[in-house]
Amino acid sequence: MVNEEECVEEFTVVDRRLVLCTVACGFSAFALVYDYLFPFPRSEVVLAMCAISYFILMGVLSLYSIFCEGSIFMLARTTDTTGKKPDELWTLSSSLLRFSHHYTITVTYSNGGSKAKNSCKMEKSVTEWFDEDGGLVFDKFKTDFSNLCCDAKSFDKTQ
Amino acid sequence: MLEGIFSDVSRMNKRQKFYQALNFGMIVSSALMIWKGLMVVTGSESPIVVVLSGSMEPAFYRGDLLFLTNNREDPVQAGEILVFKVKERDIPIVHRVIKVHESADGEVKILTKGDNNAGDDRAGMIYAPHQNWVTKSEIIGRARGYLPFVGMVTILMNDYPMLKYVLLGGLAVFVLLHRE
Repeated sequence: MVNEEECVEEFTVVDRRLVLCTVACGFSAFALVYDYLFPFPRSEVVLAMCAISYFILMGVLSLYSIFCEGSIFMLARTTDTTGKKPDELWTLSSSLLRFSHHYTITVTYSNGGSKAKNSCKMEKSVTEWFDEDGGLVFDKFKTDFSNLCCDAKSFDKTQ
Repeated sequence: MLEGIFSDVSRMNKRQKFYQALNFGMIVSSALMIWKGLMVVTGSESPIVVVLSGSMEPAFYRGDLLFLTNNREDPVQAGEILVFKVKERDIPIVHRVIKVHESADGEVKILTKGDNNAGDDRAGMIYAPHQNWVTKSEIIGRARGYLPFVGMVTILMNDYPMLKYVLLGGLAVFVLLHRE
C-alpha cells in the first residue's frame, strides 16, 4: 500500500503510546533508585508520588488505547512535494474475533483540503485468502485491499 | 514452537521491539509500584513477609504469608506478634511480645519469645551479642493478617536458587518474545 498510494507510514499514534509507557517506567525507575539511595522511611513522600503518578499514567494509557487508538493498526500520509495539494491521510483498522474467521478491515481516507472523511469496510472470511496448504495467497489479498482503497478514495472525488 | 517465537521477534520492526521491551518493563514496574505503594500505606519497609521457621507454631507455620503494618504512634503491647530485624542478621524474626518497658521520654524496650520456643529470645540467643531488648528502630511491623501456605514458593526458591533463576528467567524470556 505504501508503494501503490505513494504514502509514508506515520507513527504518531504508536509513538504517543510508547512515550506514555516510557514515562511510566521512568517514574518507577526513579522510585527504585531514590529508595535505594535514601532508604525508607526517608523516601516515603517520593515513593507515594511515584506510585500515584504511575497508576494515573496506566489509567491514561488504558483510556488512550480504548478511545484514541481503538483497533487502528496503521496510519499513512501522502504528502505532496510541490505543496499544492493538501495531505491525504489513510487510517487502517481491523478486527478479528478470537475464534471467528470473519476478518473486518476498515480503510478511512481523509483529504486534508476538503476535511471530509470516508470510511470503507470490507468484511470477508479469512479463508478466501488462504490456500489449501494454509499459505497466504498475498496477490488475492492485495487485489481485494487495493479495491477497498480505491473505493475509499473515489468516493471523496465525487463529492 | 520455539522457532515460532523467535521468528515473531525477527519480523518485528524497531518500534515493536521497543514495545516488547516496554511491556516487560511495565510488568516489572507494576509489581514494583504496588510493593512501594504498600510500603507507604502500611508504613513498613517490608509489608509482606514469609514465616521461615516453626518457632511460632501453632499460630503460624513455616510458609505462611504475613501482612504487616507499622504505625509508630500506636504503642506496642504485650501479646502482639512483632516482626523485627536483629543487627547483623538478614532474615526478619516473627515472635510474640511478652514484656514491654516504656520510659517517660518515649523510649521502648521489648522482650519477645517464639510461642514454640522453650525460652525467650534473650535466652534463645536470637538477639545480637550483648543485646537484651528489642527497640523501636528494629521493628519492621506488627502482623495484622495472614495467608497460610502461600509463602512456600518463596521458601522453595530460597532453598533451591536454580529454581528461582529458571522460573524468573523463563517468564522474562516469554514476555520479551511473545507477541500480542
